[in-house]
Amino acid sequence: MVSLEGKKVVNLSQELIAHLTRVDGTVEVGTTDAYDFPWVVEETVNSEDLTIEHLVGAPMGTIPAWPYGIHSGHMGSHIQLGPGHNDNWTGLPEGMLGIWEVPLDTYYGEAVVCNLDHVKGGPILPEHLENVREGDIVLMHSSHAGDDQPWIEGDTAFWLAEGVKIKMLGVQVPGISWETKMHDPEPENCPTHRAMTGNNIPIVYPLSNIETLTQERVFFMSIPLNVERMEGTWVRAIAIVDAA
Amino acid sequence: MFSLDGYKAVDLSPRIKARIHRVDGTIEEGNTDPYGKPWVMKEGIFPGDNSLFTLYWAPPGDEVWPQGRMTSHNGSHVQGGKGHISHWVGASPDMKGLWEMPLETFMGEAAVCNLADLAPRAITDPAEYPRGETWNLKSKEGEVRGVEILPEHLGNIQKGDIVLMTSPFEGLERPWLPRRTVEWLIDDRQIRMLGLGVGIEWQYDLRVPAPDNSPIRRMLLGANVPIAHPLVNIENIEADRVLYFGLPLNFPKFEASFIRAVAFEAPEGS
Repeated sequence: MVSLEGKKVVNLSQELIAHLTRVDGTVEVGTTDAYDFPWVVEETVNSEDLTIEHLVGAPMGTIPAWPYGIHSGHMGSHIQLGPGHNDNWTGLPEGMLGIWEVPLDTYYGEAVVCNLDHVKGGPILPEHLENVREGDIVLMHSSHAGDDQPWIEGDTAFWLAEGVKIKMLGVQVPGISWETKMHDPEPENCPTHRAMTGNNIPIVYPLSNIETLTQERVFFMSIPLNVERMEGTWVRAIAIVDAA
Repeated sequence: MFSLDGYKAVDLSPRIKARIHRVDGTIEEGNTDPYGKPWVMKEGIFPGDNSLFTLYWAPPGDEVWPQGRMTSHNGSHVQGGKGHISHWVGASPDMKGLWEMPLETFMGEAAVCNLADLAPRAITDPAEYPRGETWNLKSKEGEVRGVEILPEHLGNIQKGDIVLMTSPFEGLERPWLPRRTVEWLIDDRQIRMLGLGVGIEWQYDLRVPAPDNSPIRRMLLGANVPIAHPLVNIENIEADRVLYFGLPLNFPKFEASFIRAVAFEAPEGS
């Protein structure tokens, strides 16, 4: 059996400290993810055994920083596919698979690390991704933020999905602006979403720490929760690298 | 490079079908986890790009989950001590939260303990089983009950292992984990994590006055051995040892976390 001896586990999921309301009413303020989403919970006492459990979310309007109160599967690092998420868009193929329908081995395997520091404020093109091979999980990052982030050009997304046939796309945020044309009319909108979910290639984001991976190829894993009809789920993404 | 090529993945998280309230007002019925808890969601539309999303929340009036919010204990999850039982009288002050444990706590080599040989039998003394039927705290002589799990039943556990344990038995016929065996798991075997299928009885003495309540949870979490449950398919693992992954979300202060637990069986001959 393979062993984790001599390997190092690198966490790639963004840390999201819970905004926590204790049973005594005190509030501990948490952090937010790259998109300014919090993780709001409230303690409750389980009457069966007097343990404390966390209710996910808060009553609407009670948390000024998150007046919606409740949470989707898109808080923090998460993974998504098409059904239930963008299969309401025109122009996508029939038969897209949900994250609960693709094989488990879609979510782990060999990944290539793509450092795009040299594409400051520009489009990511195929020539920037020469280390990507068929069947790869692709992990993109850069040290840039805001308008300096490189962006995934729509044609590049389709080249990755249909030309190279990658297995999964993982994106560090901030670092990579991975979607464009969000407000264009369908079917011209959101080419990265379309390229990936239209080809049953999961997208996992926002990731962190990819820049700490010094090996060009690593083992990557981010398996969704086993919930049918949940179009996107929170994940704990990791890389396993050689320790030496 | 680390690789799982050739390994067989066995999904240990029960498949939950969400009960979902669609934006058009229709409701699609779901199922429950092995403990009978549903997973209710409300669909919404993100105006930024017209995509859909699902909220982990039962809208007002939901017939299945009128409480609205659900906890971190729906479906398979992993729990640590801090934030969960750290308020109990007598709880270990050194208990950690899930977020304070190394990631390697939740992944690595695991011993598979499918206790199919521990068939229930009629007890001769109420002390032989920790629970009784319905509201009875104890069972009676002659009732058929599960067997006490002893170290001799767990001979394949190595020091530092993650342990995956289940049996094919149900209800009060499930074998049960006593204090002395858990003490052995913690002190002698120094297990890292315990993953439990529904075929094991371990949640008993829940309302006994502290510090004697919930002894198994108290002992394991007090020793910073997280518990992952409810798991399924442990009985379908053919190998005696597997590589296990069941990592918590990276949400510090979250006392328990939803997980996707998977065991990987090595190819034959490796």
